[in-house]
Amino acid sequence: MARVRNWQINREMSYWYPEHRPQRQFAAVFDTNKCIACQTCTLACKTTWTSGRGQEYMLWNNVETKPYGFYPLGWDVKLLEKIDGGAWSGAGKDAHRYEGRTIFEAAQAGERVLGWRPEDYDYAFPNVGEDDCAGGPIESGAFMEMPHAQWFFYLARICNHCTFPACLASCPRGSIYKRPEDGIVLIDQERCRGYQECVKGCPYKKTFFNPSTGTSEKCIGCFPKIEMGEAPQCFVNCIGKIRHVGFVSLPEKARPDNPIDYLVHVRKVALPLYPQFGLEPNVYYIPPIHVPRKFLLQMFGPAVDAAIETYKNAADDPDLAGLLSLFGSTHHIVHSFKRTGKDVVGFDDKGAEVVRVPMHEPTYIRKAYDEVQGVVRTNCP
Amino acid sequence: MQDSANWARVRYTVLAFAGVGLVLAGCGKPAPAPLTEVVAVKMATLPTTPADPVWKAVPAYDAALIPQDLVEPRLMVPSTPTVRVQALTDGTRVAFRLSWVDSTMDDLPGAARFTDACAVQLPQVTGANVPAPQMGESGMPVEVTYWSAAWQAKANGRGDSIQVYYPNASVDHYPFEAHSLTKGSPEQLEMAKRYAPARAANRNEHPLDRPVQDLLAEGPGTLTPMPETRSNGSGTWAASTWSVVITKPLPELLRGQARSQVAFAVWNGKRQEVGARKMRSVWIPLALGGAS
Amino acid sequence: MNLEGQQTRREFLQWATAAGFGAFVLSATRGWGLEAIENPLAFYPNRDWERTYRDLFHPDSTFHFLCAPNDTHNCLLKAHVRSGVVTRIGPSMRYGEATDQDGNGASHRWDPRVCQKGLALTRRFYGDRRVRHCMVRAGFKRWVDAGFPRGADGRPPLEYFNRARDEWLRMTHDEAASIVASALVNIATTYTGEQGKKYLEAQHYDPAVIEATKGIGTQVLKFRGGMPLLGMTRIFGMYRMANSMALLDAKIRGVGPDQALGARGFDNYSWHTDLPPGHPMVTGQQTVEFDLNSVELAKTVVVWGMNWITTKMPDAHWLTEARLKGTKVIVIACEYSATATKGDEVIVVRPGTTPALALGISNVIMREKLYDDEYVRQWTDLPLLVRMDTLKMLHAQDVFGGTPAVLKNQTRVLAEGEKAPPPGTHTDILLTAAMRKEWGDNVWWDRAAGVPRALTRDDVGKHSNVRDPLLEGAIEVQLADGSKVRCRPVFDLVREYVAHFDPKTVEELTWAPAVAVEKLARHLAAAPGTTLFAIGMGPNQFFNSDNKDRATFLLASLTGNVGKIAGNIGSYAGNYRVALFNGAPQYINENPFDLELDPAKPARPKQYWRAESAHYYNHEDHPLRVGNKLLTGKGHMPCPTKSMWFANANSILGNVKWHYNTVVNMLPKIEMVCVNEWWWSTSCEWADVVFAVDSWAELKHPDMTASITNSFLNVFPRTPLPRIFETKGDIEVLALMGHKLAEKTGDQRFADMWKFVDANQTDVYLQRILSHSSNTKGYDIGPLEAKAKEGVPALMMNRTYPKAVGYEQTADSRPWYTKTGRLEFYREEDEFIAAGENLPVHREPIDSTFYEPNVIVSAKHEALRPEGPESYGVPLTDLSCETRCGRNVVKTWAETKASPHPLAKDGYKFIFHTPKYRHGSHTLPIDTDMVAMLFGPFGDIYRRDTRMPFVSEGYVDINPNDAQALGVDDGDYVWIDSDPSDRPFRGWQQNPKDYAFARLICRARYYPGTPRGVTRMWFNMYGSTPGSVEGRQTRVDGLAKNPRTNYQALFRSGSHQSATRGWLKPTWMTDSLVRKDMFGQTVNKGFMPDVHCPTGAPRESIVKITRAEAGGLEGKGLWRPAAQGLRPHYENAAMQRFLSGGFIDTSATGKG
Repeated sequence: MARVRNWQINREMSYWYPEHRPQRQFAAVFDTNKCIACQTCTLACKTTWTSGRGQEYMLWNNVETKPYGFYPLGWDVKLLEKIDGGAWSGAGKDAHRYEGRTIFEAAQAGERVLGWRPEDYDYAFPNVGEDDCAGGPIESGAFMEMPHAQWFFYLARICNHCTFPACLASCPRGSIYKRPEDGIVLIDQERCRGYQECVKGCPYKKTFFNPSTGTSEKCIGCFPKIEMGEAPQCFVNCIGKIRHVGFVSLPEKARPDNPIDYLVHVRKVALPLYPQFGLEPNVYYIPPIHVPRKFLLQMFGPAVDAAIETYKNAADDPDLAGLLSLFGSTHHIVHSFKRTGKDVVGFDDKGAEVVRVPMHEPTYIRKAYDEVQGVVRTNCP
Repeated sequence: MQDSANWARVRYTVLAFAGVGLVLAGCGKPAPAPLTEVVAVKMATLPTTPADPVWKAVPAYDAALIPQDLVEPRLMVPSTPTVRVQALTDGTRVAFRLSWVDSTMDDLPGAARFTDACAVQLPQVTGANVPAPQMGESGMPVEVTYWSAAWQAKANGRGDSIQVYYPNASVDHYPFEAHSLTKGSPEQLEMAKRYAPARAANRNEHPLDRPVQDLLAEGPGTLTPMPETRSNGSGTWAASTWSVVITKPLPELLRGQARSQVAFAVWNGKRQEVGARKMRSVWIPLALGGAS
Repeated sequence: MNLEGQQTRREFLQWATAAGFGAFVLSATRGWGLEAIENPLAFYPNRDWERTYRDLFHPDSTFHFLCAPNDTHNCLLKAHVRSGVVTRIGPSMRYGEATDQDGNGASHRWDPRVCQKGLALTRRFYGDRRVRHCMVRAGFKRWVDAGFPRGADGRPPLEYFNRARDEWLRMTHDEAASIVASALVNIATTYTGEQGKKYLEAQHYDPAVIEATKGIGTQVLKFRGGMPLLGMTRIFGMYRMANSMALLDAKIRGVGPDQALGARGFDNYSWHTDLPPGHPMVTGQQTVEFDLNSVELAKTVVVWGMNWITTKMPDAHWLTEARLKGTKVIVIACEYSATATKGDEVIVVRPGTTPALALGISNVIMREKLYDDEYVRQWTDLPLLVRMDTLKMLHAQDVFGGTPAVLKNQTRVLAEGEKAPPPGTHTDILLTAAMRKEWGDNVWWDRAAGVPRALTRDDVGKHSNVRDPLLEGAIEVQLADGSKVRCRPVFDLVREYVAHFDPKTVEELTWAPAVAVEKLARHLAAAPGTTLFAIGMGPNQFFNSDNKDRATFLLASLTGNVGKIAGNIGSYAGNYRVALFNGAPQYINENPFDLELDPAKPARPKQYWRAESAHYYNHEDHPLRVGNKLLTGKGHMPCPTKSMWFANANSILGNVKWHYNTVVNMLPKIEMVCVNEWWWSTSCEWADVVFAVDSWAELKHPDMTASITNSFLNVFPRTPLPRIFETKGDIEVLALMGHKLAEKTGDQRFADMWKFVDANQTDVYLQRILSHSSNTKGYDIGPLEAKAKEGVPALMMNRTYPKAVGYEQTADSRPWYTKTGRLEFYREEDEFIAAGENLPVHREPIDSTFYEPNVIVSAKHEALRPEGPESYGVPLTDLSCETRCGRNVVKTWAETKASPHPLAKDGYKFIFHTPKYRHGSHTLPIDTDMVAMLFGPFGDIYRRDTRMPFVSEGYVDINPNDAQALGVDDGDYVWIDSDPSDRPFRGWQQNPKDYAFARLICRARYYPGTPRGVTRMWFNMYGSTPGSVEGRQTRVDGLAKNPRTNYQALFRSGSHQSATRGWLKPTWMTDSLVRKDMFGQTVNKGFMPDVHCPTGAPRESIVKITRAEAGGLEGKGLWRPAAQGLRPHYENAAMQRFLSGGFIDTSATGKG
């Protein structure tokens, strides 16, 4: 075990391999407040990558309803139960330091990480809990204000392409690696022998065994698209427009014009999923504003309150509101952005404009009678 | 008729094989007492199945198995205690018959579903300097032949439709089976491969015609398939017991040598034993049928 | 380590070479060097394999096609082709390049436009339920071959009509078309003239229905293109076909063009219960709505009975982004829904109580005088006086004498006998002289001057002279003849009525907490004209739908929210508005006797076909009779349905409400059912002939559509994808039929009807429509299609972007399409007075209520004088379903809540409603594996439990406490039974054979978001058929899949339609309601399909639920997720800790 620095838990921790960060780290921001669980992302991924034999059950991208939704069944509850809690520490330079054990530190004897292996049947019912609310059954009528008394929200999940991947650490054959050029984590399909150690080790349960090929497979971050400067399938097809893809820097190297850095480091409105697991996952979530805070703290860490306050003020925060309106409006990777008056503009890695959208869609009022065509233009035709 | 001929061969072989100073019982006599090492009895023609009556007369060695607990991930709970080993050699190949008790037959892979398996390991070189029994070590490679119950089932003719794994599955469509593609055409086969990434990556899968694969290792995590598998094997499960024959060419540097070492490993699929999570033996002295 | 590693590797290589493994060394050492496993974070040696995923991603080519189910979105999708196969689909990402004729553009915020259903279409293009070639039912062919034998009553012998159980014969389009043509001729001939009438009498049709045929056989032929807007030529072509049936009538009866009559065309928008029937009652306009991107311009959005997040998916971001930028989102729903999670405020209500809620909110506003006074005076009939003697509007002519004023405000009265010009050319509102005379002008009382004043329909908006009107109290008005009459302003009548709906009563009735009602009322009134009401299908699918519209319009008017871009009402269901192409008559109504075959010249339309509401077919071809009273207006009267041919319309048969009654009791009366389909739907199961047609990805003739929720003009481009199976375009099938009819009748005009299809010039028809439509004139189909091929749509030239119906009224002070030119809340017509609905009232639901169904909830009111059951010769105690429809009984809330639903005593105590959901657009494509496995909690692509009908299955959502009380566990199978008098079908007690596939069994899901007593099943799933049940029983894997057709059901037996029924409401069937015609600016009255006609109440039923089987694998024990302690009510300790956020300790971080 080596010692590595995990900024998300604000401390050093043990990891199977020495710390080594890629030149660029694939990262994403998901706005849960915009997610509609339409599963278009899921189908975009599935029809592109997992339409083969032995992959039928595989959802590299899935959307589940929290808190009663899981894919596979109980994936997070079961691990949280094994870790059995942990604390986030207080103020000062120790602010938001995780004092509990990560899955690397909690590994049992003979294991590389604290993991568990879902049963085959746990992969059935991939949308269990769909739209089921917590807060107890509704009796009769109700009037809810923030936060909602009954609540659920949608959690879209892909591989987090972690800085400290548990799948990679778990593989006894070293068949899983992190691409230096973008930090995408891949399972070498030529070398893998299907031991499923990665399936057991990944706390997010985002590697899957293919019984037909005898190898384990996982989300590839659509690297063939990333290599072309394009957003992955589940991003381009996201009609809730909740997703933005890019590259995240270390906090101390954050670039304010980088949309990901801006949301993660500058405005701190997007947070990692279960940072306490210790993997430094690189999909960052804007937490749902209508959900009781304690649940969100458990899931996204101690920065939740501040993130929600910032998000709720977006109406008076044109840069933030603008950037969030830019989400999903282009199939290009937006490496930097700026707001120019009523427009928000996105640029590629060479600084060329790739998308421009207005903060508000324009309104056009046409003449009641079109002299050119000699016809009325009407909303009651 | 066939049998008596075999027996004749056996008797002859034994007489010619004084080096070990061991006398095999004649026909009809009970199986010989267990050995203190693995002895590959010399024989002109090697049996290919565990059911071959030839094995009845071949002395057996009960190899003790210990959990693999040197490197993570380890096997923390011991399972299969021993594997009974018999061996025959024709001078260029050696046939091992492994049998061990396993109350469940697991030959169907799947998510969290593992299959029974066993392996034989030989050093590539025999000398004073013995490679680590655990997959060899840097500079001292070992040859491994791995048999899997899943491969056995395939070799026995089990197909690869999804209903093999999930009998009631209902799948609407695979792009490589679209009506507009001619079944079996090169284009169609190429498409099918494309949708199986491991195959598209030309992963060195076990040969479809046999349930074993030859591999080379130079320490944990280095196991790599040989470019071609020259070994063969055959396994059956009955009465809560696996019986597997693995016939492999002797490593070139072992040919003509009288003694070497051999190690064995057994995986119980039901107990989710896979890869490094296995019961293994230490190096066991191997007496080869002497020079021929 | 490098040095070490190098050394080790070198040694190994040396040794390996020495060992004579030359060939092997390289491969063995590949990915071998120790650094490979040293740290895969840092270096990995062998990455060649990555090429495999690049190769998998790479397409040979791409093309665009338009995906346009009935969901209003219309997405140009990009198909990716590899080795000739469409392997995947994606969005075009080019809606942001759409422009109008002036160069105004949409932004890329509209991108992407796509959804999971569109992506799953690859499964439908190639799947085994694809209609691969034409199919003809064996028995039907025998009937045709035998020369159409008939019994004495004209009926074909039953032996030929073993529908849904019969064998199928594969045929060419030519053979199938020939059979259908013969049958059309035979059926029309059979039911023509006196003999035809005799047959119909022998078959016991209602006399009024027989009379409606006028002895014309073509009138029993019914055609339907499902939501014709979704295909202006290939689907709307069904009505062009219906028009051409006039040629057949001319042939059969030997009459000329002057007397010939075509076939009947079924309605669409109203058939789907999408039409909000009260919109025309208030505005005269079919429906008021706004483009969904408008919401970011409003201060408040009330999403009311609309699960926007699941049914308007590509436009959901407009709502979430509007909220992000400060728009307040208030969600009113009968459960804690997907949309509720996006609400700043959420109000959960009892289903079917929307009218009461709107009236309750209005009550607060009126009581506290918070209403928008100017809007009320300028735009509503609320100041106008009503005579208490006749309950009619007080007419100015009665008070002041004289004749009606001459109208000048954007209105023209047609001279006697003057024919209205083509719709696309209309500018002014066009009224007939007769109507103008009949309506006269109105009167309001000037409080300041203390005198009555006349008001013409010109006087709206800035032209209104209503300044200080009497709004509250009664007044005696002296008439011209000297007599005095007591009058009350509409406002006063409404105020008195809504007073009954005080917040406390509303809380009891609707379950909406009183505090919420008052808060919402004050909030809406505080900023008039800044609220958008997005009202959904939920409230509209109840029997009181028109009450709902009139009540919500009242609320919107009191708060100045009708006809403004940021202040309006929208009703969202179905993509219906063919009027967006008001030049459509150029195509559908081209005169078959006078065809224009010159592509450069416009057609000369003449409508020979007649429209009819399919709700009567859904009612076994009966009008509504209660006791001695016929409650269906003459203009609405249906004809017998003897032949039915439809395209793109599973909802007319396969997913018809009361489906099992329709197939068991109605279908046997129909002699031919033809379906154009590309996917084997439930309708195909019950058909006689199925024409195999192209999927959207294979269209070889362009087509076009537009939308009511966005401003895009979309063309279906021709695609380069070769047809995968033996299919033809829908419009080619029509053309083929034209040729067959020409052969059989010797009338070449049947074929000439489709000349431009044969000539591969379908765009001629499209161009005629474009050039004659108000909002598309100036567009050429050529460039539009070229752009569509690139994934770029155009923008409609609507008056505004975003589109807002009523904008011209409000902005140009243009009268509405009503008698008064104002938004009317009082309905003076006899039918409304008789129904006790001259005021906007609340009726309890007709079935989905715990109380006496359909009662008018009211205190005693001077202006409510309904005709009670006795006046129709029906005892007050008769609550049978048919009688219930015309039952006008008034009760106070106190009385109502004391009178339970008649079936309550028998255990029918659950409201069972069937809304639409995210996983299907109607039924598309929920029976494809990838979509189904994600549809609800029971999906399992591997079907580990063989009881599953498919890889997912239908389920009922029930409150966990209700389920507990029934002894039902989460995931159990349950039986669901509704009113035994007629569901699942009349006569099930004596018909076990059909009951076996009609009775509903499904999974029960513990659903904490639904109130006690309210259960829900999604609408979208394919129901069972005799074949699917046979499959379940005979197949080893237990799939509910028809062995003969591959039809795949998602129920073991029955469906959500096992509990529904057809319902007819008198106020939907008047001959007197004034409303705008479908196309253009002409105003008329009475029946108009999709504008004023029945809409039904498919969301209603009260059911009994009984446990059938345990949910665990193969019926053993608990369903796994419940057994694992991860389900509501079954939470284990860990799950409980998880829910409470107990797995992390943040005490030290204080507020984090």
